Amino acid sequence: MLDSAAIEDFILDQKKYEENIPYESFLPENVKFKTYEAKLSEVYKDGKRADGRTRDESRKMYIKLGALVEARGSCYLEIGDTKVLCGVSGPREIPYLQGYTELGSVDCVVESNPASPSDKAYSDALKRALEPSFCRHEFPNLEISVSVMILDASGSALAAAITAASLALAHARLPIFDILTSVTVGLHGDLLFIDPTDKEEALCMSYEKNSASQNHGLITLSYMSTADQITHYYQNGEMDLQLLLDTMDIGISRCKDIYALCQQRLMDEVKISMKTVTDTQNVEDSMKNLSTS
Amino acid sequence: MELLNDQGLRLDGRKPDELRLIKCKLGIFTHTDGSAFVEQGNTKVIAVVYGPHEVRNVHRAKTSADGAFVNCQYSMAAFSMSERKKRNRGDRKSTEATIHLHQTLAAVIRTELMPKSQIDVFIEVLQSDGGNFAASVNAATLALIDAGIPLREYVIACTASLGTGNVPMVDISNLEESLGGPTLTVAVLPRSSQIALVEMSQRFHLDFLEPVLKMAMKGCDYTFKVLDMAVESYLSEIGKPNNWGQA
Amino acid sequence: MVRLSPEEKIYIIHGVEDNIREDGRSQTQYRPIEVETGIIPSAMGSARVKLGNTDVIACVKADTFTPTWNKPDEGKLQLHVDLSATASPWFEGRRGEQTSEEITTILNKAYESIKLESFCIVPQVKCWLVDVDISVLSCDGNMYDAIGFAVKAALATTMVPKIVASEEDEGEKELQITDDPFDTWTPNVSNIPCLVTLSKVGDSVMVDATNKEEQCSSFTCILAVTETGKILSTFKVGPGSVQPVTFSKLILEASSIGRSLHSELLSALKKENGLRKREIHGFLN
Repeated sequence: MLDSAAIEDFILDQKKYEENIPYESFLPENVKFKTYEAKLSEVYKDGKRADGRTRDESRKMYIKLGALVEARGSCYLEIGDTKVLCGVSGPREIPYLQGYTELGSVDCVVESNPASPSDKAYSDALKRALEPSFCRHEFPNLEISVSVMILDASGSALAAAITAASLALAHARLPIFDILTSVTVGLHGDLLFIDPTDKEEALCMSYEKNSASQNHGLITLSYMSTADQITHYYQNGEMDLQLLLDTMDIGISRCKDIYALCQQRLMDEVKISMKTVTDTQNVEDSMKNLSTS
Repeated sequence: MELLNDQGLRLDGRKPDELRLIKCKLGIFTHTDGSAFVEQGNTKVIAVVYGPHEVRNVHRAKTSADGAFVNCQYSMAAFSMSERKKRNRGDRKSTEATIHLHQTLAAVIRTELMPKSQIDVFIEVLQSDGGNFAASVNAATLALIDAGIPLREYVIACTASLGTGNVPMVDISNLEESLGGPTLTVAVLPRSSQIALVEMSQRFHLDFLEPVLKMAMKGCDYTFKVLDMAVESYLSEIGKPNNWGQA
Repeated sequence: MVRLSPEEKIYIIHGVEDNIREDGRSQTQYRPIEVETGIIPSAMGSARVKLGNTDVIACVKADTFTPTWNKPDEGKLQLHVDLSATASPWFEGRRGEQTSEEITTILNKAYESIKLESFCIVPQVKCWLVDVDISVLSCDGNMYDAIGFAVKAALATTMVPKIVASEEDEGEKELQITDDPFDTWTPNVSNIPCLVTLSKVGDSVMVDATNKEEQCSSFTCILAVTETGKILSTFKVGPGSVQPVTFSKLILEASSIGRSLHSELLSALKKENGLRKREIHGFLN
């Protein structure tokens, strides 16, 4: 007997069989099945990676603060090909709040694609990463809204998003304990790749069955340099214990390097806005200019 | 497959008027106000009761000065059926069972004694082998008793059906249900012999309604005796160590 | 879910720092763990784990699937968590579903990098797809650890009818389910990790936090540790930050705790297996 419940179940079952078949599976055999050496050499050959870097070089970073004029604070960040745009607004009342919260909330939304819904996992990770750096006790019952749009995810997307969000918070003149810098480090065999591209990330998440070392994986971490605090840490893959700790230390020192760069960029931005203040005679005008620069 | 073979026995060897083995336990969780576990044959059900407590914000609209608001949720675990099926919370079958459960329990809970409050009854079906709803009602009754919520009396449910040769059968298993026979579920207040809920899965001739209904109510009587004994032994287990509070 | 006043929080933090927690445990002590397998006979494998008052059931159902071209001899392991409303009225309806989905995503990521070559039947043709449904019936903190145990115990005692490949003339293999009810396949669980949750409370690090202790934690992270002490996955949950020095110590601690947890669980499962006639208690006892 076919009733509505049975039809519902049938539809759910059909969805199980709908799978996205990647186009690679239709390629001819000789192209599809490469040897491990061939796959590795595509990404890393003769001590140089596909884009010419050495294994411990990060990609070039480009930071533009104030990219979004309408937002209270914003930051556009490029790490190599990865492009991230972040906007910060607020503080405003927490919607539908019943009761009293002593600590303000940071509401994060990370989108990879305007058409698709927000990536919940990234949004949660970003929120947890930002919370320790933000002075939440100064905003009881209020929330700060952080929106991140990942325009191009070519490796280390979440790391870029965290750094961009933190810079946007600083640009928004919101009280923070320290800015966050975030980095991804990949491991494959015993090779360490700092700031991997998406192809390198895929390599680090795979392992070669017959090789001596089965270590592989990715570590994403975000770090407050002055306060010496790790605010976000995600590791996936199989790694020997000591190797894991060493990789983490390398990640932290790289975060410190990026921190210096971000600090300099923020100082430049302050100088530009201060210049606007000292140039004009009318204080009111200069305040207006300060908020829109 | 015949529902009743030539010896008059069912697929699992029972006689038509024989119920499956019933096992139950009250107070399985400590963090709830009341909880119970009921096993009827292979059907395993957990019921949990929270309350009476202040009406939660989500249900604020349902606050009533006339009596407590009974909030039910019937949910089947994804592993409960032999075919693994992940059920969403709001799907049709669960919603229907939730509404029926609400109807059944509202008949026995003395809601007028607890105005402006809320009683939560949550059912989780761990293993499903026919008579899920009936077992849920029985488990809910035990959980309400464990929570100390004032009831008019027990509400007991049982299923019944028609076998080969129009012989009424009691306590239908999943296999017998899926072989296509009509299943009648009845929720009954045993002492006052009142019916709180009747549900039929399929139509059958009016002439057979009375014998099947009678069979289901006999099943409820038997189940009531078993559950009542379980409640008595549970109460003495709790009360005896300190001599019923007089130690 | 449990609301604590600042004074209660201070009391708990001081207790942990003095190595005497509210229930008398030390910082590295787990609550009594009860594991019982085979409680849901209709499933291929099941286990119930009680970690103090945290109650979790895991059920295993296996199915076959055709592996993808780039991973021809690896099976799949999928976890699904359902936070039952019996654990808390907070998990009722849509809200419970959403929280369950979040936890499912986190868990599946943690179990992503397990090597599943033992789940292969015939390379490129058929592999096992193992679904584990986890139902959280009661939650008093440390849900992830309990889930980790339940998954491992359920998988270790799963019995799936074996599928044998018979050679055909043209070289095409025909797959058949064996007729012998005792010829079963059990997944190899040596790769399956245990989850260890570590919380930093005050200046100390502790394991197995109850609901109240979880709220006093300034940093919580979950590590998936294998039998050999290797870390498969680490993720931070909740707000909070930690110094790298403390974090390194945390990781080393988790590795040794994970190893001992594995050995305890495996020896308990062995003992349970050795019992000649075992009555399954489930919720009745």
